Amino acid sequence: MLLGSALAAGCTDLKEAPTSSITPENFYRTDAEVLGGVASVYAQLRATEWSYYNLSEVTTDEIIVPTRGQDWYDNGTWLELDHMSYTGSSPAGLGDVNGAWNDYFQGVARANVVLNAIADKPIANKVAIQSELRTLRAWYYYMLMDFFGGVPLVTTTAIQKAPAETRDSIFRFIEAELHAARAGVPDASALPATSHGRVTKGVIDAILASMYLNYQVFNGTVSATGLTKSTTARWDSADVVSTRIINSGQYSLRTGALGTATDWRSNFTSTNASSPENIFVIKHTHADGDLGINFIMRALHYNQFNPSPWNGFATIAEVYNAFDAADQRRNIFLVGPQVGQDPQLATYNQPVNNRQGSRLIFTTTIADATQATEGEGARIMKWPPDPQHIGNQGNANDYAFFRLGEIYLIKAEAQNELGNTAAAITNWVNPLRARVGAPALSPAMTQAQARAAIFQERLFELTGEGKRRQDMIRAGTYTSATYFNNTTARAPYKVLMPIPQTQLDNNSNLKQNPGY
Amino acid sequence: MEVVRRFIPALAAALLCAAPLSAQEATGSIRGTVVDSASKQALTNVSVTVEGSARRTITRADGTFDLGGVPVGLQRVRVRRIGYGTLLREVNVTAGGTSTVEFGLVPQAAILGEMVVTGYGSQRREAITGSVATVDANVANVGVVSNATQMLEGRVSGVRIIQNNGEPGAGAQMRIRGGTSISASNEPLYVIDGVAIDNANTEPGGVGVSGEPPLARNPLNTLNTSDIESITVLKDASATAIYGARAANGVVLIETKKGSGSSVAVEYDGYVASASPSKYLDVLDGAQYRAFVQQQVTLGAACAAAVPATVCGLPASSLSSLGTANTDWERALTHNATTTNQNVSFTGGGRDTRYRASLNYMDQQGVVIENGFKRFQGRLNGTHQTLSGRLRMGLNLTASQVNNHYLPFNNLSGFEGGVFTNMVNFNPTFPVMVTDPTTSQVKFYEIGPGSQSVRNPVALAKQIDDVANTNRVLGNANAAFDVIQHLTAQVNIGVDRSRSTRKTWFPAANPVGAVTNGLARQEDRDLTSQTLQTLLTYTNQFMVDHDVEVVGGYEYNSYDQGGFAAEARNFLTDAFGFNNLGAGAERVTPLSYDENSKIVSFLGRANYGYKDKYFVTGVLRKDGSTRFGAGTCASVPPPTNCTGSHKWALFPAISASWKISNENFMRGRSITDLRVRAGFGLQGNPAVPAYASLLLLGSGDRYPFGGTLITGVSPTRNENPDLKWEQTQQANVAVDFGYKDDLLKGTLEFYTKETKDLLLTVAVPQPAPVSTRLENVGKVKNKGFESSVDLQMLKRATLDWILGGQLTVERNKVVNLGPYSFLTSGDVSGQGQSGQKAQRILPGYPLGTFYGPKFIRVNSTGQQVFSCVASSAGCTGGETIAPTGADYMVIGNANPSFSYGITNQVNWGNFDISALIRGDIGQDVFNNTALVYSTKGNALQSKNFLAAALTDPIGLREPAIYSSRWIENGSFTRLQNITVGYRLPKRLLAQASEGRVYLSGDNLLILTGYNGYDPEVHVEAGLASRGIDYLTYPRARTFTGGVRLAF
Repeated sequence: MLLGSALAAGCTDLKEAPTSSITPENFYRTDAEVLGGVASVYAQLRATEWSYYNLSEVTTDEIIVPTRGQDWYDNGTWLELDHMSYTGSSPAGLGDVNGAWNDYFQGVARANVVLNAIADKPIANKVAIQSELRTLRAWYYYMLMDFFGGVPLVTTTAIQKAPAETRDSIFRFIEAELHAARAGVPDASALPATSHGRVTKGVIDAILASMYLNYQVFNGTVSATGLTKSTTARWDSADVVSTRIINSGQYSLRTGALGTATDWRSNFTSTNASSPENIFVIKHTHADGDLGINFIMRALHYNQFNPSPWNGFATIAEVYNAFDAADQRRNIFLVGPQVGQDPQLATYNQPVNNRQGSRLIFTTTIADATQATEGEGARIMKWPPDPQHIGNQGNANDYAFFRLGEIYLIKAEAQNELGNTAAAITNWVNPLRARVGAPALSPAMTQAQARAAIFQERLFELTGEGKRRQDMIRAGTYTSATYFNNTTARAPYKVLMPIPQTQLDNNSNLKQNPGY
Repeated sequence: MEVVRRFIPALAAALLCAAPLSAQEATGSIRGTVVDSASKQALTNVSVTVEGSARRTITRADGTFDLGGVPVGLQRVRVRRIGYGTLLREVNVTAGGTSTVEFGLVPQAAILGEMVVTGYGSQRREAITGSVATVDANVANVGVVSNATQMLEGRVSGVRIIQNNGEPGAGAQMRIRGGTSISASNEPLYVIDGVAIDNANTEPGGVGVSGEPPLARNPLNTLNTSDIESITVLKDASATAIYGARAANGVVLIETKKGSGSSVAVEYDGYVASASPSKYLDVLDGAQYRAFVQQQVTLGAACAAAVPATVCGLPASSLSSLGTANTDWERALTHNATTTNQNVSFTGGGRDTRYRASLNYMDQQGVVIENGFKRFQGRLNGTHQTLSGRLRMGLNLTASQVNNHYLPFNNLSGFEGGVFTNMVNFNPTFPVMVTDPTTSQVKFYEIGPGSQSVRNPVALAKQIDDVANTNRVLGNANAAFDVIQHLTAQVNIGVDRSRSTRKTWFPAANPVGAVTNGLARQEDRDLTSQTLQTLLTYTNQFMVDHDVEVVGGYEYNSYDQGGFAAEARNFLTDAFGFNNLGAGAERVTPLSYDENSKIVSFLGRANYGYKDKYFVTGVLRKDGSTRFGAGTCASVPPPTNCTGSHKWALFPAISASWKISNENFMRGRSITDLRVRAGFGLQGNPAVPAYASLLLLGSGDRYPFGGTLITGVSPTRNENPDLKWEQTQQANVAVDFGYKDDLLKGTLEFYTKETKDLLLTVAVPQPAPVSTRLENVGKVKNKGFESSVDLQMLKRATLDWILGGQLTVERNKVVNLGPYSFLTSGDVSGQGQSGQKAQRILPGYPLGTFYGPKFIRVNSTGQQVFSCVASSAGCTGGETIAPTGADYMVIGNANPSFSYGITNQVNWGNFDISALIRGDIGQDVFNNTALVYSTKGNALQSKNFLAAALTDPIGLREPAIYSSRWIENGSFTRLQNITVGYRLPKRLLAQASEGRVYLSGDNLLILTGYNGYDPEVHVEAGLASRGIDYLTYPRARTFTGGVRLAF
């Protein structure tokens, strides 16, 4: 009883002292700890490969996910994306759209946590680290602005119900942040090999180029009747920034003959970390089963790879047929009788069967998107399997948000809009066509023809690279183009994604986007 | 004030004069023993009362009692005990003399007798003002019962138990008066011999085969049911409030058997049981499947001209790819399973020292091959008293080892899945085993080499090795000391420690292990909780009519949880199994963790009884938990304008009862017992993780700069300094009645229960490092009616039949969810079901509300037609084939209208017969298995399906769409158990003093319209999800034969 009384006296202290977790107060003190914080901000980029990628591709003509018997119905989400029938509380709205919102804002929040923690700590390379984090945060805001328009702008760590800023003020915040950060980050060539993949001046310029390219969209207004583009354009800025990248001497096109180690396809292989064309990438590795790219899983048939892929994503016939037969870029599509694609299996390059026991054939056409068969639809295999892959995500191919090929096309588009149509085609479009065996375009075309040609060239060069939604919105065809499963136009306000109902519920200061 | 001034001296006088006053009257003593009339074993804790006087006592561990100061003359002595019929006998007491008497009590079912354990003490049942139900272990421990939870099934009103599935030792969902919490725990607090245990899962969760591993087994499996003396369920707030912060979901008090103190007695009981699946799902056999494919190929050929062959029927190659076998995968995976259970105990001691020791061995096989569990347990209990009984000490020690052998099946999710998914999927035209033509080795048949998404389920069961061995030591030591007369001080120290190692091996030879070329994993989990209680109890009786008991105390609980795991892949050989992680070429980063939390409490309770007619109980408990928020401060530092800590909270309760039958005007009436009770109280729910309110950084999200992996560190939990207890307030009104003594007796109760500040994991405004956090949001309300009745059907010299019944009606409603218009829950499982949710938590509706499209019919082209609102795309005439979010509506309710249980206890000569029937009526169950497998589309992937699909009009290429079509009525009535026992006559017993043999049948019959395995099922499918059935472990029908011998 004495023991009891003695213990009682000292036992009302309820302060918690976690042992296997840490709090910001006792962390971010050494270079290695700060690097750990920085790595987490980069790691969040991987999440964009699902939400940002799918929403940017499946809502367009580039990728469709047909229902294949029992497979890929998924609550109607995929066909909802195809038809743009999503709302803030529909399956896709609560699913991938909400996922996108959370993914990018988590990236913002992770950057905020580290930026706030190191603000008053004496660490080495502080300005460089701050510039790098501000760039990444700006990039996450760019994706939010692209999808949702105006969103809350928060640079502190407290959880708060912040009201949404206008799309334009988000644009100006990103622009200012990138300009401020540029001096603090190195050129690509100045990065040590162990830092490959981190923010460089080229990364900042590429994001800026993309922002200026779409300025009329981002500075326009969206109402229930759709997008009214801004009358102000910034083609000159796009031209200046893309020229700065091209002239920086940091990047070069891969122009080797097909089949050599420096051909166009080498930008996408498992060793593409060495490609001088890539500017801003998500790094992948096969050193671990979960840190690689998994695009092939979405497209390949169950019997083509180990582990068994998901046999979902396909391309419609109109897109496949748009490619010139001589254009080597068409070879990213798998069509016709199929072979095994796993370099580690005996079935590699050997014929494979479908589940009914006959030869697996990918057709270019899909008869009915609601009742497709296993083999219908061409498949995109732009990032070929890593011979050393581990599991389904252990492919080391880096995924590029920006590579020099696109910068050429941004330059071309800016030049054309600035009136230099012939130079745009000759200097910035045809070099991309020449390296893949596509016939050169005649520079003798009107500005409008060149605009259409560059739009089409972006399809050929950037298929499957997550650019299609933005391009179609800029071209004004995102909701109006009709193709395969979309025989009528979609509602014009769909150029912005709905704010997910969950987010409207938890932040009463948010308003739903127009039309929804 | 005048009253007080007069009262205090009177009280003091009464205190001082009580003893001399009684000494002036002529009194005598009664001394006696109470035994079980059947077993002749001594009965402890029996209440002995002299009618018409305040003299009462309880029997000691050896069944003896002494009652002094009994008025001289013929006295009626009433003897009552839980689980036995009351006995009344007249005893002649002489002045200064001692009368000796022996009572033999007859065991009895359902409504139970006298002294009831109530937490921090025990009380006479008639003095209890709260809602308390007791189950006698002897009655409930029938058939194959592997843990205490199973003993409560169908026996207590207001308690609903759903065994997760038919796996041996499966976990269960226990809901006392319905679940009111959405994301915090709904499990009650378990208290064993006065020590609250941490009922966390003792085994690590496991890896899972292409999906979530099955739900954890019951943590109470480590306690042998044969050591349990009684189980008491505290239901309403006034009864549970003494456990304050942890009592919102009710409290289950488990008392173990104690030493008897008589000469050494040895007891053996054991049984052997045989179990088989109680139902088969009925998938196509080989011939049926072949015929179906033939029919579809013919159809495909016929319509190829009109429409592309791809959308009609199956291609001819489907036929040639079929195998020649005819395998019934359900039967190949199930067998007659054997369970054996052996208990030996001995008890003995003398007047001051008593002990009981027991040993248990239980080996339970599952009805599915290759799994089960074994338990080895030893238990020791000892008590000692000294200083003329003023100091009493006790010790309880249980050591057990449970060896779990797991089957690789899934809780839900994934269409590849484990044993049960593939049992339905795997083509019945393929064989279980095949001879390799090149090596002549006999091996498991797989549809291809390496990794496969469809796997031979028998190979999964046999090749994958997944075990967990758990050691648990549960001990407590207590001492009670009578400081002065009426005042007792007590200390109780308890330790609960468990350590479990789970070992998992996926061999490369199996398609699951082929992905990583073998996978081996070991994971440890350590749980330690410590308890210290100090109590002061004051008991006295003033001026004959006033009974007072006051308890005050302090309690300290600490909980430590830690773990370690390591995993390796890519093995050169399958020979090492899980025993040599170093042999794997690829080693996955190991993981370890450690977390601690504490609860500190001050408690007080006062019971007051007047003339055995009016009783009042007041409880006050203050609890502090480390897990809640420390409050916020406007500026940090210095801490000014702080909102104050949320770690402490106060839990009060008040209740009262009136025993009307003790009033004079009730004397001599047929209604021999009548009592009304009412109570109100507040309780808490602290079931949140340790550090739930803190912003924590964690490692794990890695990034390869330049190909070098850097471990990222980022927040893994948002902070919420305002996080506080979930609070439940409950009001209870009840009537207890008895008609002609034991002819008819029962209880009726009404309650309302309102839980506010729900601990809910909700999405937070962005940006936030983690998309959700725990907040106190919303309100849920339960109300209900409960009734238990015992009816003496027959009472003859050699024939005795008691019929018991219990009825539970409960209504649950989400009142609000704070800012949230709804929360989605209830993940739908299966291929093509990603992102689909079956349930919504909606204000105005109960938890477990099914939400989705309403099915109307199948149209002529084999497509499903649903009702729709005119505004949604594709809606014509209120019908659509592609329902959108706007068309969704409430399509079902997983909560029963009522639940009931019927018990029968018949004693006929040497025979005893007991039966338990129970049922739930009116609930809906979502048959996820049927949604995914009762449409023919699986044949497109050469997968099998349920036979019911053959006659289903849905087309071959129509996807499985979640809708009201798959919400079924889950009402059932189950014949849970029948046991027939025979007491061996003396001439058959050689050395034994007593013997009984019995036969028992479990789950013999179920009456239900439900099409799946069993309507009583639980899969963990998200927040507060209920009533979802997806390919889980089938239930068994079990026959048991056992014997009990005492020496």
